[in-house]
Amino acid sequence: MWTDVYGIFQKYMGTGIVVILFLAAIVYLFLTEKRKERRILLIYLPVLTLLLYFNPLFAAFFCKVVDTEIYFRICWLLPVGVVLGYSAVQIAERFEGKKQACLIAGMLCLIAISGKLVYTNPLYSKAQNPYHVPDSVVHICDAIKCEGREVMAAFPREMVLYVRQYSPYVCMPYGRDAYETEFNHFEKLMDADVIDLETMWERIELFGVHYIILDEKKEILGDPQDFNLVEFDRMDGYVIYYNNNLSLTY
Amino acid sequence: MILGILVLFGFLIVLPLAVGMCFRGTENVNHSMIYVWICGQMILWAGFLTISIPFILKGRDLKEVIVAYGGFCALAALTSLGVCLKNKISLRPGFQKGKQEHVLLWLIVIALLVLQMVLAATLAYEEGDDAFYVAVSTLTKESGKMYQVLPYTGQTTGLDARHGLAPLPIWIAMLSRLSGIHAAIMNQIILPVLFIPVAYGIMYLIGNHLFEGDRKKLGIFLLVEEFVVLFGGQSLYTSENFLLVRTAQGKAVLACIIIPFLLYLLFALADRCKTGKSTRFLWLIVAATMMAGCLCSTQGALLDCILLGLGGALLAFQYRRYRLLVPTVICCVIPTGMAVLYLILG
Repeated sequence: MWTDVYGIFQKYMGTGIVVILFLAAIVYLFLTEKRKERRILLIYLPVLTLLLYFNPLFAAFFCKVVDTEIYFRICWLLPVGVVLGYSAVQIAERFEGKKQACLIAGMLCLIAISGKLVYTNPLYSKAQNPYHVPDSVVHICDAIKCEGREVMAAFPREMVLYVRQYSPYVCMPYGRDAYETEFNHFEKLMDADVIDLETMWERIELFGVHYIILDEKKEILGDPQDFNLVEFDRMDGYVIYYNNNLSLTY
Repeated sequence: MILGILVLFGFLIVLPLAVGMCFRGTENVNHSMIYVWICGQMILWAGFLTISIPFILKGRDLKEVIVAYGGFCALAALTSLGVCLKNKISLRPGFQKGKQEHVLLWLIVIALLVLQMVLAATLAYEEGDDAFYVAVSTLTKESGKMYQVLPYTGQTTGLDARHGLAPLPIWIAMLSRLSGIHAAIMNQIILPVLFIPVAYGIMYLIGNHLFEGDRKKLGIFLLVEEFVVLFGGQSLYTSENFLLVRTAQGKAVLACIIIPFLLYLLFALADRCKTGKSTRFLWLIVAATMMAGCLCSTQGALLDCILLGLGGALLAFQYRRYRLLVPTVICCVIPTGMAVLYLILG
């Protein structure tokens, strides 16, 4: 468990430089800050929080009762920004004019170098619409929507995260949790380079799937018409098959 | 759409200001409008938690929550109005006018804030947890069912009490239903554009308290804060990262709004301990903030109690005002109750 606690803290620290700066700022304030209430909330409180984090009894309690994976949230109680900002101002206050401006610029550069610009994360992209889901998801969900009822549709992996954020009327045989559950077999078949309709058919019937959305570049093993799957539409690089064995009318 | 925006303006700006207005000028302190808004919102979130949990656990419809919460909002606003009239608190929204100095510094601070708001609205982030939280809001808005449908697939399930005890997505669904604006837009654009300035607003309050209104120091403090947030991507686990990446998720609200505001309230408490002023109204806000933390995340109960417990105990022992421990414990009762409920139901 100790390895978990330490490992989680390492993950929280990232490169670790910001946390080192934070600890250095606490030491600086410990040496220079005279006002009692500031010492309590900017020095003693963070130190106690850190002691609590590394307390094996507390860690054991938290990990057993709550969850080990989210133990890092205890670190949110550390006022990193406030302590860094306050110390920076206290240090800058000792200088005047250009020296002060250069010092502030230097400190900002130090923070920038120590951390990493959040927006450089490769998971960021320009939003395609106000829903912040891919346009293809919006177009396909709108196309297969059926007034007055829900439809069951199997989507490729890259769309699974977004479908139900946009439309509650489109149900799926597997969701984001497919990677961890028994439903992952269907998802794996959908994600394969070659779509094997015969193997997949059992799942399509089991879940009562009305629509199957496939990347149009993917090779399909077997003729969809043999399974009574008809091409419903093509859009944004995907082909939508409608399962003619199931009716969408009551 | 315009009507929807007006409804949101009413619910997200006017209503919290109306409810929080009674805290303006309490205990002989002329509080800023940021403080008034946050106090009002904390009261409203605490009310939403109290009202929505029984409806969720009984498997009732969102419509019933909206009706009951509407009544609470009206009551809270009228009570606030009554308190203002009784105590002769001005109802005119007043903003503290600072001297026009250090203009460049403040322009940079404001420009960086606006940049973060614009990027929150225009950049999409592939965030796995949105598949849960945004989907909960979307389906609750449309179906009215609360935590009875698997958000990932749409299949019906038993009550998901674990998530149901932190119903911020239901609050978002309610706003979405009332305004007619899609829940995904609420989660990805409207709330981030609101919550990012609120998070910095709390930093403004803390900075203003620490530097006693010195605008130059406050500007530098906020600039450093903005850099810490902007360059907080060294780890996916930092609260700074959560503020920009998962802004409308409950855990981000907990990390970037609730916890910093509790810290501010601890500063205010320390100030009152030092001067011996009354802390009656302050404890009311502390209690509401603790409950708002429970609304945001099930772990909010534990984190809030740790922060208030440690902070309250330190203040009590350092100032030898042991009576502080009584309201500290009382404020922890509801979050502890929520934690117990979580353990029983979860």
